[in-house]
Amino acid sequence: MTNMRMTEKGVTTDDVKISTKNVDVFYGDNHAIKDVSVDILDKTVTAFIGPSGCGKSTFLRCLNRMNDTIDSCRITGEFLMDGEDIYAKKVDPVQLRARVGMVFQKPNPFPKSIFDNVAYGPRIHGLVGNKTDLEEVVEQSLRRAAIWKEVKDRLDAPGTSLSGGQQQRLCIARAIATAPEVLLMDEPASALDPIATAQIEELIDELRHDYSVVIVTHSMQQAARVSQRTAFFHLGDMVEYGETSTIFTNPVDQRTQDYITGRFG
Amino acid sequence: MVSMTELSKMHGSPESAARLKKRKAAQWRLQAYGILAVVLAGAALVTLLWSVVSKASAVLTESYISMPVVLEVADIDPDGTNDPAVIGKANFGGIAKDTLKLTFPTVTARNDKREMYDIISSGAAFELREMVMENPTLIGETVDFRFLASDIADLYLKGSYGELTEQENSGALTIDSDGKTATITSSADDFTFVMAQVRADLLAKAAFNRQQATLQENGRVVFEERALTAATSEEGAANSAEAVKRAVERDRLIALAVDFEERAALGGSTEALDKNSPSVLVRTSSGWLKLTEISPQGGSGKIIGEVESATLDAADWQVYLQPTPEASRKVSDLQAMLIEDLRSKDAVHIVFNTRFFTSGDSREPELAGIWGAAVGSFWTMLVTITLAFPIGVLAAIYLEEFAKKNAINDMIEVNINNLAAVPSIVFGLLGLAVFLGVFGVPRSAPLAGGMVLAVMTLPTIIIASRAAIKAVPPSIRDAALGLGASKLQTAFHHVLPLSMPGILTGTILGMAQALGETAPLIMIGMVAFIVDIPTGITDSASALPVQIFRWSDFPERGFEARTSAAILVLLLFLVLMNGLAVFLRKRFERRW
Amino acid sequence: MQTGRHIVTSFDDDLIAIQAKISEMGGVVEELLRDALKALRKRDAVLAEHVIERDKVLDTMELDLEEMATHVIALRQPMAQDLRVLIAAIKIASTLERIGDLAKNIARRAIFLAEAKPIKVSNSIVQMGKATRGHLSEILDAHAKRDADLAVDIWNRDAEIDDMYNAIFREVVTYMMEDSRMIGLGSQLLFVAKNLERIGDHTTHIAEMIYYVVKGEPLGDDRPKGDPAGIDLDV
Repeated sequence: MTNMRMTEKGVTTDDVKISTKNVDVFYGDNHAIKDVSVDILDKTVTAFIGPSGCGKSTFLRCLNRMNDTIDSCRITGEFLMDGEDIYAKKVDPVQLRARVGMVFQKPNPFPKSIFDNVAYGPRIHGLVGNKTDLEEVVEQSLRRAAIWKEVKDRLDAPGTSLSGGQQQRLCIARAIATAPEVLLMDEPASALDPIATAQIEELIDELRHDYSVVIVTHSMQQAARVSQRTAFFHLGDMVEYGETSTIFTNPVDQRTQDYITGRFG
Repeated sequence: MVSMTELSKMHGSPESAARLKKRKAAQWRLQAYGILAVVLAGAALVTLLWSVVSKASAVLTESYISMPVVLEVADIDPDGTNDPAVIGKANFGGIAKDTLKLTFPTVTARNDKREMYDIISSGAAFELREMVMENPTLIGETVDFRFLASDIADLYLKGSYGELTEQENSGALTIDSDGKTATITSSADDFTFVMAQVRADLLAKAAFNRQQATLQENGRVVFEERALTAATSEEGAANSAEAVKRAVERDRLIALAVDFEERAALGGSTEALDKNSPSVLVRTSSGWLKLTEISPQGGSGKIIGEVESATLDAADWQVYLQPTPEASRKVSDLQAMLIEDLRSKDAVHIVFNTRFFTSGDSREPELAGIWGAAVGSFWTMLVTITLAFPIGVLAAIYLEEFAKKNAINDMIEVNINNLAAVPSIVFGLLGLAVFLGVFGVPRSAPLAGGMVLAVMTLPTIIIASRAAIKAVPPSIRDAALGLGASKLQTAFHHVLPLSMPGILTGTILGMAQALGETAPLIMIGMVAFIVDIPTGITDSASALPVQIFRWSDFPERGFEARTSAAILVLLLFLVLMNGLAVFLRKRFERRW
Repeated sequence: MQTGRHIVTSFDDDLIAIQAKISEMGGVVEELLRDALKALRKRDAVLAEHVIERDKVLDTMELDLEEMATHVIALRQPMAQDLRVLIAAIKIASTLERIGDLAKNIARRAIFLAEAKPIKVSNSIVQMGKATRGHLSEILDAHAKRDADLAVDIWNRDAEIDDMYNAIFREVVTYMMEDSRMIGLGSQLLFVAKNLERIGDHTTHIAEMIYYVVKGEPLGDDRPKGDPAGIDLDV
């Protein structure tokens, strides 16, 4: 059976970057994630799909401990990144979030200049020592986010003066600037027009050579296009996880089949 | 069973058109009410401002009288030391009086001389002293010095005591003078104008007396009734006595009224002019005549200056009427005449009143200024903002960003909201008890006032800051946290700058409110009479609203205009602060 | 209408891969036809067997291409020219597969004819074969270059092949009428000629697809055809 991406190779590595086991998440009394175990591979795009409210965004936010900011949230289970428990007491969530970057659904650049937006992460984590190095990091991040050519002449312009697609790429550049190992993307293209969406997808194709990408998406075509592994969530359960081509052509679970073909009752 | 397609036919029906008409009428009515409300509010505002501005406009100018001053060496520095300390001890008050005596040699009577001295301010002598101390070379010379006019002279020059209105005269005037008094007769009936006035005056007095008599009569009736129903005979006797007293008083008043009416009825003959009648003054080229008796063609009266027996053409003499009786004003006719003389000699200078803005408080209206109060307010505001702003903003940040949502924090929030509604005088009591009593902060100092006002303004700042911080969208916080910023970094790098416009607006509005607070400052003693300009936060000081409060209490008429002017200065400060708030808000507003 | 590259480069890569697959299939078909005709001319049964065997490859390739095109349609939701390219690719693949089958049939005839003695009329068949091969080659060129004008030209010139077929038909029938022992042989030749004529028709079908991809409208029905073979059935 041929791969969905005929021209790209499939997964080039089998290394597990993040390993999760028996994860349960409670919001107060609401059992949002039920006993989920999934392995996120390195240098791979993993897609989380599922209907609204199924818990995919919640699970994504567990991976960089963003759920810590919500008082009523309780998380149990094992999260290992490179073999180390990210929920251990000695792990500082602030440091973790520099290694696991996040891009949100609605582009949210800071109301600062483009340069300052991208430079913020390296600055607060003390990644570079002097101004020249910082400028280089900013340029590289903007290049990798495929937006350098469009903004290189106006790095002082406010980040909010860009179009929607450009803002989202700026946010991606900003996340890349902290030199993360994993990139989490929560429906990054859902607020964008088709051209901007295409740009983001092209970007994801390139990013996966350097980062491990986890993307939550509503669009199944998008998941099929950009990812190599897909996990299907439904009502807090992870129903199926496997190679993208298998999930979309011949899923094992009937629920997966029903969701993909649009037969959900 | 409702058919939706049938329902959609209802949209264009005449009933829906009628409903539309009613709705539009209601909307129009609402708009009309709104506009009416705005117009009423605007009218009230305009009325307030107009009354304040028109009263305050008198403060715009002050009057000086320039006269030549003879600086005798013997009076000032007999030993020729040129030492300011020695010069400063000289009797400049006497020199000022001598100057007046020189200018008006005909004023000799003691009372008259006192009135003459009252034309210039008591502070004028000190200004003369300053000048000579700075410039000892002037000793021995005759200098033209501008004496500050007293408050009553200044008010007179601004027309507050009524205008001397010139009356038409056509006849030739025959004057029969003996140097101190004179009798005048005009060939025409030039003095009828005042007769009607005098008559009306008399009748008014009669009516007033009759009214008072009626009140006495009422009292007498009451007491007689009490006497009849009295329990004991002593009470009865006391009440009867009261009744008799009332009756006697009533009769007296009625007699006066009758007298007035008779005099008014006479008409055409000579009437006496006294302190309670309007003043009639006749002016010649060399002097004035104040009439004490008047008839349609002339009268007789007292001479001011020099008037000799003569016959004058109509053009050479003028007659003036001052409708306000002398007893009802602070400027006597003599003073008015002297000032008019000075005015026609161009010795009166009316200049822009910078003194009001540069000098401190004083007992004399013409010397009083708001600078002391303004500086005091400034120091107080400085202390207030230095204390209230950091504490308020940091408290708001902690409560919004860091504090957990539990019962204790809820209670704190409720208490802060309540504190914003506490009457300001309570804070004054707090200041008195704690800051002055326990901490020993100097009384009447801006430090104490500032601390009290800071405590008062804190709730406002905290509430405004919390609202501004809450308004920052969570997406910004998510973005910062997602990058690995700690809560502290998120709060100070992102949330605080974005909420700054709201915080600043709230702070400045709180400051503007504190600027106008009087009650707490009175409680801590900033109501004292402070003449010197405060130089620091521990000097005794006053504040603008307190100054207004004090001046509004003083009896001198000159303070009325100054109170209004001080109110305008305060309003100006408030407008400036609000303008600053708007400017800062626009400047820092960012779109996110 | 030429357009630039897609924003998502892998989309372009997918389309290029499909085009390449068509070209590859075309190459195989050309090879099959060439070899079949050569086997016929040279009376080489071994070569003919080889052609029959090779035809199976085409079937696999057609299935591969259908799958590729289906995937692209499912994932990329192509519009306008992209959609026409993909639909056309599926049809062209099917047509090429059929041409391959026809070439296989010719090879079968070649095996049979290899045992018979050579006849004069084989020459005209060779000529027809050359012309057919030429058209096929040109149409594959036109497809690679997306040249609608060339496609229309070939579409028109198919009349030549029809004419050639008619000529051969009359010739062979004449021979069969003259010598009844020729009937067996002649009918084989007729089959071969018919196959070649069918290949020509399929080529015009590909031309219509190419025109449709480029212009967005069908080419129309009134293709010039050669006159039908006119024989006097009474003779």
